[in-house]
Amino acid sequence: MQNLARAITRLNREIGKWASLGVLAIFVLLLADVVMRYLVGQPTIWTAELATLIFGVYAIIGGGYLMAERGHVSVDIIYGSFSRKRKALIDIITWPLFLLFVGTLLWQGYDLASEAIADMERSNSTWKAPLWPTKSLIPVAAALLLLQGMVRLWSDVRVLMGLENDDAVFGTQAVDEPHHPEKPGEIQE
Amino acid sequence: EPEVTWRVQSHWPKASSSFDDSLQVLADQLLERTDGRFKLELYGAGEFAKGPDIYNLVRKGVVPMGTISPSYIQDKAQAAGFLYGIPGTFRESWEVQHAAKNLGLEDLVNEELVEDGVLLMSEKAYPTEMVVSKPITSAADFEGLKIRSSGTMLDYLKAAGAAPQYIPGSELYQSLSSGVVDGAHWGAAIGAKSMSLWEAAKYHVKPALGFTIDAFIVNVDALEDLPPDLRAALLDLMEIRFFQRSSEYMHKEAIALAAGMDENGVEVIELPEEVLTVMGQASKDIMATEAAKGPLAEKAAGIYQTLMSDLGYN
Amino acid sequence: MSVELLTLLFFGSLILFVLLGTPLAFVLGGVSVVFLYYEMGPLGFYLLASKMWETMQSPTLMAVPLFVFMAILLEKSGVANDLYDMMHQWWGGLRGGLAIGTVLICVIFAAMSGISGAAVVTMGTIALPKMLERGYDKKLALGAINAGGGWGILIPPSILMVLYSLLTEVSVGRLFAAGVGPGILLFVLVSIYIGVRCWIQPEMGPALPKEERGDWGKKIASLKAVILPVLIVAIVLGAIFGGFATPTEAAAIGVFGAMFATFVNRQLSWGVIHDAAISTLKLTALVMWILFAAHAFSTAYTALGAHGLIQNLMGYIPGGKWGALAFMLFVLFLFGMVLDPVGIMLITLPVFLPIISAAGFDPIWFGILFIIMMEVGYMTPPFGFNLFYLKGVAPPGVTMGDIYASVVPYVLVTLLGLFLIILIPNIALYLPNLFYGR
Ligand code: NA
Ligand code: NA
Repeated sequence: MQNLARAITRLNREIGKWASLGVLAIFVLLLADVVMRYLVGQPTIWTAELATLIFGVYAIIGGGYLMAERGHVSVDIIYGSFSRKRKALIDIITWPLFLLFVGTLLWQGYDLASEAIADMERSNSTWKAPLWPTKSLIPVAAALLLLQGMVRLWSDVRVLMGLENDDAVFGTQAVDEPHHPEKPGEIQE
Repeated sequence: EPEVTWRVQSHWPKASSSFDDSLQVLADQLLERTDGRFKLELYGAGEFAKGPDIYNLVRKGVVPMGTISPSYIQDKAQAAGFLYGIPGTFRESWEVQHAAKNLGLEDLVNEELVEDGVLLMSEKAYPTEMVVSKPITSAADFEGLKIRSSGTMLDYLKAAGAAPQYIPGSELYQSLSSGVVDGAHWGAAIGAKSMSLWEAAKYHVKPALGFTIDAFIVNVDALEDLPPDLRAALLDLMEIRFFQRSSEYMHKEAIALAAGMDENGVEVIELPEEVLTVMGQASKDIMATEAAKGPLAEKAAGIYQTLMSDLGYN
Repeated sequence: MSVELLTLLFFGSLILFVLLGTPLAFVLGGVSVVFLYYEMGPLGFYLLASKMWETMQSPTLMAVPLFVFMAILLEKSGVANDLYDMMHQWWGGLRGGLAIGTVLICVIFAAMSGISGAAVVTMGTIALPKMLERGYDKKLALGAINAGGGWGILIPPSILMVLYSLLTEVSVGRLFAAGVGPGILLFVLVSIYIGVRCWIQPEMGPALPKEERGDWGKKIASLKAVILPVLIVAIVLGAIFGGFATPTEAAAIGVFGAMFATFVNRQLSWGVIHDAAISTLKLTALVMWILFAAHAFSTAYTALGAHGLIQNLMGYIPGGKWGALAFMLFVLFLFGMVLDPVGIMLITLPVFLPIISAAGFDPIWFGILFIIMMEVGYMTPPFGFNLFYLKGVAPPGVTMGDIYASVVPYVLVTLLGLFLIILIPNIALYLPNLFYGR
């Protein structure tokens, strides 16, 4: 079982590493748009649309990676002062909310994607870009996030049981208390 | 208390004039006709969905009714491109109305849509006209002109020698006023006014590049579940409103253009003959491409060709 | 169940779970699922996926990762550090000088992009660590970035203003022009606040000790630090206002500039680029997942009958047109705490606009008030994108609690600016009337 968790965490981290390059693709495509319009005098029709499609994937696919890195932002006013165990307990109690959101997204995203694939759906622009590849990644992104969320749930249960969790298996772990700088302005880097 | 309340997801922004004149009027009249038994609850673009996704919402029955541009459903119905309009073909609004309702374009689209669970009813016909920031007096002026465009119109303008490109609506004003593009079309006069395009581009170009249609779509199951008198009231009203709204729209176009000339110093210019000639060829090519989509598309092309030849357009 | 009661339940559960420390994306998304089911049955679930797809396709959100990437490159290349050293050399004697310099840069960034996040991310990455290193008070610095970062939607170009015009059919050009005066006003007010606060409490924005201040030779030499940033700003602004690029494309030009600056400083390597790209992905994913859920949340609230609620409430307002205006601004303030600006716009504007025009208020002027309230919404807890952006880029020692607490004085200053614009409409309307006539 631990190997499965390790595989999921590792998969999400690998995906994050590669997906991060998407910003370079968007950058190059948009810059190409400007260059083609002014230096070549022949505006391209597909660059901006392709950039948008890449952006869509880029924006969702990092959800699981962010979960593995404990990066989804939350309000730590009260939560932040809790011990690791109490954090884990609260997380387990609120986990159904996560499941509702991501599970529904997986289910409905699957519907959305399978219809797009069945129709070989294309955009109504003149380029007629295929939309099904991007749409198919909605359930994929949801699944990646859901899997990482299950790993997190398991790690929270283990915390309650007093077990130590390996970062490489369970992703980044909560700390006991946030670091409070002694003097104003003193920040750990 | 209304007996039936339907959510209607529009593709126009709420509080815009097209939303009020097209949808609010329909809702008010429907309520009156049914003695308050059938109420439409109207939602502006983006509240549940906007653009092409409205079709899926209606098809699945998330909302029973919506409005769309037929350009959203070109993948779902072969004849949709013809209902949306082939640039450079018809020259008057009545011709489009006639082709859609009396000659059977709408029926051709519905042949495929109804199977998919959706019924389409044309809402209005209206022109597409371009505004540009510098006058066009020759084919050379038109050559390489950077025009913000979308859909089939983009192919059309490109074939005629311009350099069209797509820019999202939210960045259109900025792009036109700074010179990223030299021209754009957003509907015709009413659209140009609503998007403030005339502030940045003073020349309003005639003739219209083409005519297009907006449409109501209704979920077939929801329609069948209605009591017969309510169903009849809705269908009749949509049919009547199409003709009323199409003529009213042309009137409002004229008012909008006059206001633009008055308030923004807009100047109406005519496309030079040589540009129109090139556009004529481009239009034929687009028609041929659309017709090749299948037997229903071919029938739709036949409707166009018959009417145009009767009008002496070829 | 009445829509009033549903509203309490809806927002109540949001605030409860947010305070329990559940990530915002999951709270917003999970609560939306429950209420969509309550209102529309299982059919409503489809909206979750279709809203996500809609958000993924937004061509203007693409500017977000580009600006983030640019900011991180400028940080890593040392350009940002040189710039802040320069500012300290020149304004070292002025208490709070760095924070005032930071909000000035925010004004410039506001003109470079049409969205709010760009400046927050850039300044959070570049300015925040530099101010903290030089002993500035955490809350003073965070709040300054929070407030200044929001000006991106007030100073043209502005995506939110275009959306407002689209919904109200007012002139985009007038609205853009009307944003300039209030933008400058807010800059002046925030600068005065920082200056006065640091003058009274020098420990909040300490001046550079006398012995460390450079002579004129040093000052002049430090000026070379501005060459690269000025160059980047010039090409981005030149591209936007010279008509070479849309604001989104200009963000790509900004990335190009940042890469060039990194190269000039001999820091450009694949390692640096990939590190910057990974940080960019984290921040973009953080914001986009909240945005997906936030859009579902607004949709669910619309389905619950948000319009009807506001319509009903407007019927009870005493005090004539000024009472109505005050109430509308109050509603915008409350909604700004928990909803995203696009959602607020879609829910409230159709109800507010008829009231505005019946009262004879100028819709351009109201547009500016509206945009400023959205800016306030970007920085008011618990839900505000400026807050999340800032949390995403801030050093580890900065908690959400710090960020929440930091905005209080700045919200008050911004509201003071709003009040001045209500009293003196010409702060907004002078420029549009000058350019376009009355
Ligand atoms: Na701006
Ligand atoms: Na807020």
